[in-house]
Amino acid sequence: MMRRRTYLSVFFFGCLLFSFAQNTITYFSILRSNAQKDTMCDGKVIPIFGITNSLGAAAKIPAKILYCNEGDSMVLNTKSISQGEHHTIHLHGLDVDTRNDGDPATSFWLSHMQDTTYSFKAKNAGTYLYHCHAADVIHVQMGMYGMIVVRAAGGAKTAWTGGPSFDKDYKWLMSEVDSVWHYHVPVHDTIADTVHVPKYVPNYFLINGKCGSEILNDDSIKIKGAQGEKILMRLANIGYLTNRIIFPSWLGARIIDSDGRPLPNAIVNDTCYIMPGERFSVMLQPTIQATANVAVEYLDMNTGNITLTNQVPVNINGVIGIKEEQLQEQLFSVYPNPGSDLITIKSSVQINSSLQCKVYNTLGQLVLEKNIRSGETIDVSLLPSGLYNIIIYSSEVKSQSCKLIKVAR
Amino acid sequence: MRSLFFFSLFWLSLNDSVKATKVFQNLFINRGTLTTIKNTTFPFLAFNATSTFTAENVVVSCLKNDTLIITVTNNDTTLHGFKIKNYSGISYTINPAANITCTLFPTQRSIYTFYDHLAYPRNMYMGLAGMIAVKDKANDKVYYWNLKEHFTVFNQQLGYGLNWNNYYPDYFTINGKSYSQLQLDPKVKINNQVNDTIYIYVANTGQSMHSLHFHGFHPKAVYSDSKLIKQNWIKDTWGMFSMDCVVLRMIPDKTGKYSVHDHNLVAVTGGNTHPNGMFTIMQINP
Repeated sequence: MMRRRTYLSVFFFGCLLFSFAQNTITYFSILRSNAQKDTMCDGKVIPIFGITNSLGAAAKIPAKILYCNEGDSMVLNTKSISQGEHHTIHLHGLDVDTRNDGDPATSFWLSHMQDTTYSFKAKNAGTYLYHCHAADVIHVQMGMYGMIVVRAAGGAKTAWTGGPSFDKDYKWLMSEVDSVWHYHVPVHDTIADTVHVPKYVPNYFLINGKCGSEILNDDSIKIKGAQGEKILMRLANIGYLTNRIIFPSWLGARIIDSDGRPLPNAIVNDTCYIMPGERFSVMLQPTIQATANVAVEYLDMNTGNITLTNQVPVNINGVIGIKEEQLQEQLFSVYPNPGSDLITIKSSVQINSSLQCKVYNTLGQLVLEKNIRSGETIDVSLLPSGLYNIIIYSSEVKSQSCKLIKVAR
Repeated sequence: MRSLFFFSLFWLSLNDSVKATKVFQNLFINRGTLTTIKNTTFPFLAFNATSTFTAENVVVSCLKNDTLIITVTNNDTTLHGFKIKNYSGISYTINPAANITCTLFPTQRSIYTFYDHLAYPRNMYMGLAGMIAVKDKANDKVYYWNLKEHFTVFNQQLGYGLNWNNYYPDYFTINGKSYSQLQLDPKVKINNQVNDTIYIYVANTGQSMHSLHFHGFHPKAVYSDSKLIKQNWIKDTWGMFSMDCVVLRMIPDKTGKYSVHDHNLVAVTGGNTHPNGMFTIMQINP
């Protein structure tokens, strides 16, 4: 009897695990090029194409974010309401087979009122895209795109399964709109599968479909957090310009993955370039409380010139995260503290590589930077007296913030 | 048995030393015209293997540890230069009808871009930029993609008096060709079997940024010389600045046809027609 109960328990537990691992997430995707419109930040209404999740929903730029967990299967039941256009869904970066790739050059497209099913198994957590690949240069510009977020297995709040944890994440999908293309949609010759493309001169520069002052008021875009909080930025570009994202240095930006794969080593860099179709994850861990802006630049890919810069507000208020972290991990000690000239930075564990030390004043300005080995000193004698934050970066352990009180000699 | 073992070791070491050979390569700076996918033409320059012009810069190929000896002859009527990126000591000016010879000792799988550095970027933009592909093994399955873009108006002015702020290319090429010509170029069109190990040598010798998206696969960079070194990165979309090089290793795990294209979708056009640009289709067989 006891043994049977054990077997049953194992069986049910196994089923439970199996059901976690084998979730199937189903979405409905309506590919629409029938009289859809969207309103830009200046109030102008432009014709768009789009992807919606129901027949009754109006298309917007971009389409909704699709979510699943690593290990899940995703099914997209797809119907085209295209009024003469042809459409597909390309699962960008999900490494699907030719049948599910949504590329009419190698597979098939959907005509008006046709339907199909696209599916994939989410093998790698990360940030991906989906977009129409029929006459893609036009249909992507018209708005037929969205983001797919594959969370870590079980929905864990880590960048990837077993990867670095985060407290909150933001999803930014950058793109542009050339309204001339929308008012005079280039005709797709569906027999020859060609389209004549006018000169691309974008006049709206979007993050999650928002532009201008809309960005300042959008809670899904502007960054709010606390000192020490770990904020994962999922960044993707589906436009035809290159994005250069510049974070304030006190946000401690580290680029940790790209295109759904971890980087071999995290890159400590305040600037992240994202070319069309690329995705990057940047982990932020604010080292001070401050307000500032993240610059999102749109670079002409031919000239390298900045076409426009969106400023995204950042508000870091409170110190909850860092207090907890400092209590948990005192990897580095700074002494003497208060200090007047030479201060020593020493790790409590053996670290072979060099430490990158950045010293910030209370305004968040970087005032001193030096690479040292554990146990070596930094000369702070030239700094004015006051409170400073020292951020210590290492390729071997997590970065840490330490307070320094600088006093006169 | 032991003598057989030592003989094998001796033979292997001999074989290895035999591989380290001298490789001679002639390059000619030739002037001609590039014929686009839409049959329009414009003036162009290229480094060719013979004195006959073709619009495709020759790929100089050798094995690591080879001694590579390159002779460059200026077959044009004006002064030209020859420089190799990331290889110190090789930077020459070459008078018309003159030639220079230089020697390289590449030691790892890599790419070196060679280009005309005079009047930068004019001569390079007019076509004079190619790649030295250093392979690991002679039987590596390799492809060579030299990315460029062209603005007809600029070429017609022979690169003189240009305002680069107005640069808006209308043709986008790999090895001087656009889709669908690219489907006929065995150096570009990937045609392999599942589980083959494929190496793709990519050099962006144009002036623009390019963003190559691979459908179906995530190749790994086994060599990178970009400002942000991308060695061992695994990605489906590779953003490349001007003069960036990357060697990608791909081991396909499934059969089928898969596109590779610039995800700046304007660069998939040629003469304003889509999809006449930077676009090729891989064929992966069982």
